[in-house]
Amino acid sequence: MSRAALSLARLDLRLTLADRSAVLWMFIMPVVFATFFGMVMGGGQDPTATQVKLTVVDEDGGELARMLLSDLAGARLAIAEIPPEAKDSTPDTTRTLVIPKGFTEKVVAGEQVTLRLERDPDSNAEASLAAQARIAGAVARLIGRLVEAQAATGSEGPAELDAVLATAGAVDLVTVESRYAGKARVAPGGFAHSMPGNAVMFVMLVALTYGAGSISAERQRGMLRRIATCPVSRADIILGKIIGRMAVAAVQVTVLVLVCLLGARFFGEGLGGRPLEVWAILILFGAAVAPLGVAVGGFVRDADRAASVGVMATMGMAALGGCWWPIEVVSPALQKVALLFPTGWAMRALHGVISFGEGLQGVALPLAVLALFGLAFTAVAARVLRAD
Amino acid sequence: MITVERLRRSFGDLVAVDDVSFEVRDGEILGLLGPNGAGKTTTLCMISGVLKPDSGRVLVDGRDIWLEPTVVKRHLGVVPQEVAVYEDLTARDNLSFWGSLYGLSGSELKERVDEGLSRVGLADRAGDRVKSFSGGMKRRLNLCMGLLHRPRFLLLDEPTVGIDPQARLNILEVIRGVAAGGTTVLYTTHYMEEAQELCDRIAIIDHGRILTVGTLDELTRLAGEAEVLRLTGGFAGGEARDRLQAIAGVRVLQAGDGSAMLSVAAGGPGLLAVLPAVLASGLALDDVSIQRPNLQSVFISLTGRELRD
Repeated sequence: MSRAALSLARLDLRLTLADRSAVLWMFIMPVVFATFFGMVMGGGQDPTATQVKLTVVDEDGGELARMLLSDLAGARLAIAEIPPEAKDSTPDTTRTLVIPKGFTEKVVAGEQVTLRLERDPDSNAEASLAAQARIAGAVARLIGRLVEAQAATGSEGPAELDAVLATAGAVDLVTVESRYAGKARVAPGGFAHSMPGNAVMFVMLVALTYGAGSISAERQRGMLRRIATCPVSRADIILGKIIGRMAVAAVQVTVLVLVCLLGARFFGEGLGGRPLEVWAILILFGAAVAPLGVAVGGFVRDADRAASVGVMATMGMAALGGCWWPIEVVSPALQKVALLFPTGWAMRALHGVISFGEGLQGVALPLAVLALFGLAFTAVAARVLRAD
Repeated sequence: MITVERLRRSFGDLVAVDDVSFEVRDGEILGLLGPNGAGKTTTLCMISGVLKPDSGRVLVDGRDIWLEPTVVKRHLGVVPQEVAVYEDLTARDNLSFWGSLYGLSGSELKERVDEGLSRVGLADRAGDRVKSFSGGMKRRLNLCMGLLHRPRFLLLDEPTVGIDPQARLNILEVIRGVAAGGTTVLYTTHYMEEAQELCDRIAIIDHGRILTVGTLDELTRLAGEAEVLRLTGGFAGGEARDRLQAIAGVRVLQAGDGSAMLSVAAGGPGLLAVLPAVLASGLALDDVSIQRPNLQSVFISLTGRELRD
């Protein structure tokens, strides 16, 4: 790289860092937004470790029903038991387990019994799913005890109730563990989404607003024309401008990752325990969108308008690319739309590393696509950036 | 030497520069004089390699700027009309940046920056941000940036526009000093006085075409062949044209409501013979003045308009 290109890049970095409003949008606002949305979306808690509210109506009242209830209480369920007659008048019954009358008798008799889990249609589907899994686990353990009691009596028929009760406290014959499996991944929430989402959005915002705005302003004020009178090739001017914006993005990304590391206790899983990988992905993303800022600045001749275009483009790509909400919660069609934008690929890579335990190799495809975006934007910038 | 050969540049239907040719000889100051919109800046942009001409070429010491841009630009210093400085940087930082684009670095760059700041009288403000400078100070810094690498050819595009007389004198003084050091200067202006004071030769440009090129003496001799009478009064333009054209030996340069200009050709009846005929023309005259031959009269005789138009 020529010294002239380096001089141009150094100047851009220096001018941006000297601009107080740029510093605000580079470092302060991303942290504020990430913190706010991280807390709104569940903070740094592991969604699988949260207590799920469950109302229980024990219409049976028998020993096995009590045994089941006692087991459920130890299964990370916040149980509120209400009498059967209060069921319809209790206001907060987000999800209710009904143990039917005759439950104990029928189980001891070896007859089939149905437990009913009623849930409010507006309740959190994920939490209801977790409650269902934990109830299934408790039922399986109860069946294990029935089998154990039957074996203890040596009879072929149903287990004796006393024998079943005697197994209480013994080591479970059956253990049930529930977890997400296969490709049905749970959408990242809390800081695991808000930190990468806001980092991607604000890196792009700074690249597209300050990048595009400064280049338009330089052309308006005749700076680019004057640079073109110097013994600097057009390729060096374009390269210098792009590298300058890349340097701004690199500084921004590094500071944001460092803030995340320093505030790890507060931001929880914002970096997924893989700060270097997250840093590398964000650096690549910054490098990919830097030339887009130069291209917008080259295309839009008025500085204010260029900055406005930058803001609109950033907001659109951030929303559709999954920076505002996890892309996993939107329709499959919108998930495909996200792949049209660098934000979509960046979020895919970051979620892979932060939430789904992937290494950089596991997100090689999104990284390769980001690199291609960078090359395409560089080609556009080279075409549209003119001094006059 | 800078050789400009048949440059032409249009923007859509507007032909901004049309078949412009001239030379700037080694060590001279050539003024490119013309009203706003005459094509001076477009011409300068093409000479400095910023704007590609539709046709024609520019040779600097025999090298085509569009074929060997970086080689040629190394020897060019350009001072644009707009004050192209970074307002958030100090004067010193601005100069250091522009110097770096010309390959200057280290102690050499620092020396050149110090020298430049002293030359334009900004040494005591070197560490101040440019945004705190007056218009004249910014203009001086703008000039300094074009001189930092000690160019052999200096192109200046109206460097004194909109500044106070003191700053203007300082800038003209610096340019004289640079030229005295052997630098070849092309100076565009629409200030007739500046061209007269500063330039060895002057090229007059209007509507994108070079009308004439010569020394001040050559040009005024050209104009001296026709003395100019300026008339003001309460008359209509059409009436003035009709009555003045009827006088023998007179050419009407301009006739508008309340003002008119006419020239008296050499070899004709002479000013003293024409003047009574003008006074007897029946026009309601308030004032009649004779204009001595100067760049203004040259411009008028060439275009029929005053330079300020």
